[in-house]
Amino acid sequence: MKKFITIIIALLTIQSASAWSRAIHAGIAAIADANLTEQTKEAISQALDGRNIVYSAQWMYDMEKTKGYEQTKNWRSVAVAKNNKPLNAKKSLNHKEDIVRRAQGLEALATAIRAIEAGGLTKEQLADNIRYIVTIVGDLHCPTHYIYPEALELRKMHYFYNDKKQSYTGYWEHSSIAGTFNWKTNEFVHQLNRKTPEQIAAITKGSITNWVTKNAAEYRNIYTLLESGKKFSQKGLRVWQNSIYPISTEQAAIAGYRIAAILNGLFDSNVANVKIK
Amino acid sequence: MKKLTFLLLFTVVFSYCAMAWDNRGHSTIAYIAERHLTPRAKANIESYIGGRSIVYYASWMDFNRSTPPMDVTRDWHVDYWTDGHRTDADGNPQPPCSLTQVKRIVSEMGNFRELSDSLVNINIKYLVHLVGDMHCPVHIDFPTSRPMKIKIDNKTVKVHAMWDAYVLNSKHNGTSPMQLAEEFDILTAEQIAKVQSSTPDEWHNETVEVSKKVIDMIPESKKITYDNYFNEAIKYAEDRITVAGYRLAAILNSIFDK
Repeated sequence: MKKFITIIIALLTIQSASAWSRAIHAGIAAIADANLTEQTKEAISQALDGRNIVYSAQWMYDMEKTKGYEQTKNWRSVAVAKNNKPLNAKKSLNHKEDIVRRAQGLEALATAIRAIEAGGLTKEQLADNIRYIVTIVGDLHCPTHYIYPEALELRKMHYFYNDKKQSYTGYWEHSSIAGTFNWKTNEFVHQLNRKTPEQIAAITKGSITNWVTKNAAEYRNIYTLLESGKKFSQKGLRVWQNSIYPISTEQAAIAGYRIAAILNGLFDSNVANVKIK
Repeated sequence: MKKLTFLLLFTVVFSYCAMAWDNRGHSTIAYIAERHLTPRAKANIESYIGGRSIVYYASWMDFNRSTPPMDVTRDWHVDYWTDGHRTDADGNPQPPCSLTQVKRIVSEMGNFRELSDSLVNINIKYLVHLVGDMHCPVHIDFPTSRPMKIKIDNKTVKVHAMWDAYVLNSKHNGTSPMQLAEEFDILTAEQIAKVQSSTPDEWHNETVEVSKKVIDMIPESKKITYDNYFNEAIKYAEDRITVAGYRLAAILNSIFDK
């Protein structure tokens, strides 16, 4: 029994080694979709051939091996300085560490937003940029998608369960929610789309760079939740998971509201644009 | 392939929820209850649990049962049973745990507005979970069934573990609790009223009888298959979950619809 449990956990981790899982991305997109204005929904539906954004929640990942989209694999994370402000593209692209050079998520998001703001896109280009926004904003609310160049050893944190080594970042990306709740897309909405208008206003206040900076500071704390190398019993794992799922579910909700804020700003003439800086 | 998938997926479920109905079962019960809360009861309840759905806390007691001070609730989930008497694990007579706790909480919550917010909050979490546990057949723990081990494919598990994690999922693994609630919540208003009209003591006695049946159904060989067990047992699981949902709604409405 223990062997099988270990295999499954390992499989889940491998399946999603560098992204929120498909279920979480879909859940985030569904929360966003529930907070789009009618005008925005209509514009997006036209751009996506009648589909909503949930359908494309992880499209960027699906496309990363397709010619012309290879660069998107570098758009999942963001590198930040010690003061938690995002490194500028030039600085991160010249960094000696590959993982920092590949952390171009914020730059890609900004490019997608600016492209839509500028207009003049073909239908396909507009659809691509909408999908980029949905996926990248989701990822920028996954704590392990923040790269701290001065502390890259955090990426190697791990634990043992049934004597098998498990990656901490892998746990966050898939099991931080699925290890506790077996939610489908509708359940993400039912359980998490519960903020008051005042709370949503507070969540979506400020610029995208502000959000990222604040996230970067807050997400450093997740590395205090695990003593790397710890060996968990089944009960110990459960207790530990209890410290994580409230954070991951909250971040999924926040991501959903922020995607909606960005898209409403871009497609609803009555809503102010979210500023990038 | 079906066999392997069955085994692997059940193992995942079993890995983190071996102590009650699993999270799918408890969440389904809570969803059914939520569908039958009055608007006033729902609003009152959610005001005490941070605006969340009761479903979010359906398995909270299981998640926290090993963490002090919640470890004192460890024995609230199961009723040990010896020759018609309720006993603890050592055979000492005692009232049934989940029933006693549910009755205590219902009584205490009669004046919920006079209680502290934190007490109301935790009592809601207790009720949402324990009414579910009260309806889970193997939460009546007989000395004969307690040590009994059965085989599913080539895996050996205890009867309690089989019911907690395997029976519901023998048919519904992969189906979300919200979807299951929609599928199970099909009784008429009259049928629901009848289900809700009995008392917690009667619910408990009902579970005792169902528990005996599902244990008697276990084949002598102790090798469990769809044909010789799951296909029949699933009917009991679905019924107990549905009934628990309606009754949880009744209890919560009686407390919070005022």
